[in-house]
Amino acid sequence: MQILEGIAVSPGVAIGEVVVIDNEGFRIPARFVTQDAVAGEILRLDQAIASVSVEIAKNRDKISDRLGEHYGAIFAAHLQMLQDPTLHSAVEAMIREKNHSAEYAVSKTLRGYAKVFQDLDDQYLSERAHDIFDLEKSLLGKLLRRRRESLNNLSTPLIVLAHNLTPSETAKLDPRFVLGFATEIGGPGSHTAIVAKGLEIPAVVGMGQFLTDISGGDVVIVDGDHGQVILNPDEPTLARYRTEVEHHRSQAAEWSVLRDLPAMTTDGTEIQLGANIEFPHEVATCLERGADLIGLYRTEFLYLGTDDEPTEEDHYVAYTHVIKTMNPRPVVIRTLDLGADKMGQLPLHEEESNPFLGVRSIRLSLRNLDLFRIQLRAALRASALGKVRIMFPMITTLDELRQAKMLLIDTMEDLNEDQIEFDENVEVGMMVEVPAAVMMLDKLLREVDFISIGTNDLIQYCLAVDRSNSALANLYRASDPAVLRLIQTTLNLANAAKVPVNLCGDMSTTPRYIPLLLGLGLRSMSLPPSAIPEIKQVCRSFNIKQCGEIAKRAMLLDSAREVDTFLTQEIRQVMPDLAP
Amino acid sequence: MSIQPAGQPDSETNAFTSSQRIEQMPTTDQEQSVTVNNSEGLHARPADQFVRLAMQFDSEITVCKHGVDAVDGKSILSILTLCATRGTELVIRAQGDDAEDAVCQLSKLVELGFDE
Repeated sequence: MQILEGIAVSPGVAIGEVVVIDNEGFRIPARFVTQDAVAGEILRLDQAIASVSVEIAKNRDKISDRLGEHYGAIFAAHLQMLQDPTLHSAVEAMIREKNHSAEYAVSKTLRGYAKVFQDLDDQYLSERAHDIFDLEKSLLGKLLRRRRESLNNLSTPLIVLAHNLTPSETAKLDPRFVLGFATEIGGPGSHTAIVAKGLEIPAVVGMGQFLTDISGGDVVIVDGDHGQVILNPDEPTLARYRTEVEHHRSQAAEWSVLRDLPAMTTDGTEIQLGANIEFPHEVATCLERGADLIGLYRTEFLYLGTDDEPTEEDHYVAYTHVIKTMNPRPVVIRTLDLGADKMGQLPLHEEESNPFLGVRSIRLSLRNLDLFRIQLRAALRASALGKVRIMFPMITTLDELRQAKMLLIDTMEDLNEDQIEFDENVEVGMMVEVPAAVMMLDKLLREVDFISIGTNDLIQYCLAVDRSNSALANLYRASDPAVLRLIQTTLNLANAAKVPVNLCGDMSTTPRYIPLLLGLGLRSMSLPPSAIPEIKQVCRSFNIKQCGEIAKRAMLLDSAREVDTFLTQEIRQVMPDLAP
Repeated sequence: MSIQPAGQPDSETNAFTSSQRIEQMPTTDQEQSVTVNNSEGLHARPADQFVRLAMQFDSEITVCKHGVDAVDGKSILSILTLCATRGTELVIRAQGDDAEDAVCQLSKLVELGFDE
């Protein structure tokens, strides 16, 4: 048994067998297969050899035509090696007698030959080892491609371990079959983490290198509460975690009782709890968990996982579903918040050395007005069907806000001309996630109907920490006094100006921060639907006066660590059963 | 974070090298000694020619260097591992109905220095 530490990004516990995806997205082959699978493995081996043979034969003919028989003969020798009966029987024996997978047997056998060649006392022959590696690569390519396709349609529940999963890969994971996942890289604020939370798949990221010693089929535990991955757990550990899985289940049942209760503090102050979603189908969960509104509808996934630019209709269809299902509850649509590097549709002008400080989000939209207009038009059309609010992300300057609003007004005029219905009074707001926006907030507030504090980016830009850099995860903390001051200033200014202020971002999913945020004057939060019941429970356990005192004391502290320690103590006093 | 090395013994590597050598031949129907004559020795292309010819016979064919390493004459990888450079003496053995023909033709191929 081995316990590995990473960063917990999506809560819950998963126990199961693993599949491994390596650097290139390939699945690292399982070292062993079941006895029933042996015949299938041998068939796969034969198919792979046959299909690589065809490729080599083609190369041989091509080269012979162009350069002459003498050169073509090199490929003839490769073909001969590939079809070598001794090789075949050695590989087959490994599969048949030792239950090795075809990939593992091919790799092991060919590498064995390569080693023999390398050790030969002959320059020419020792170089033949390269030919062997070449063959290995071709064969594995064939074998793995078939496997890789099958990863998208898993039929048994598994745990996915990978070097990295892109947000769109994560989005494609089927929660019915992916029990949990862990990755070598990635940080707490990465999109992958956000998606995992949306899908309610327990996940740990930023593990560092750990895949090399794991074979497919090993049993692991992914502990998304504590950020641990346990390889080949022993019986007592398994038993303990099975109890925990049960506990999670019973807690979920308990929380469903909370659905119809208001998120009201003990002194009767109502807190609005909205849901963050990525995909239209998540709306059902939002209602199930008792979300008051969709406080953040991320629209990035219309752009991810496809090479074509989404059409106005694509946007409209997605929005319509969300708005109709939530009606009469409001839906806040946030316009595109992506870097050009993540989008296949736009040509990249030049390599950006700092994408987080580059052309992304509203900057990208304002530089690609056609793309932006399509989204605004769809959002406005959808506003005729329910209560829609439009929110611009990453506003840094007043000019950006004004430009975005100008384009929105232009689009409204177009719709009027085309006699297409929309809500003329659609509310327009902005994300506060760049420190510059906090500095300029008094002015910005005059031009918006609402604001939403995006803590994930606010932390990153305030502390100058790349939120996906796992090496800096320790610095990336919502509880840093500098971040807390930005939040405090924002809340004070917005509340004084009577502009509704919401907070979205992971900070609001952590119970210990809730009393602090309420104490600072926050009355509206938006979180992943899975977190709503727990946070509602926290809200219902405190009174505002108490929160005010907690906030006052927390704001006097010097460091994130002190703040976290203090807030943990405070919440434990009131809610001792809560997981840390 | 730390990882303990898995400590898996690499038993397969040894298993395969020993299985590719054919330790003993019960009876030898035909055998002939030849010297490798071509400049490159039994390298990839000559070995390919050798194996392709050997495969045309039903007999089991082995090639032996220094009287010890008998390998399958129809396996190019095994032939290459003989490391038969120019001047190496090889014994070609065949066992089966067309053994005589096989040994004769294969020996000729080697002695004539392949098609170089």
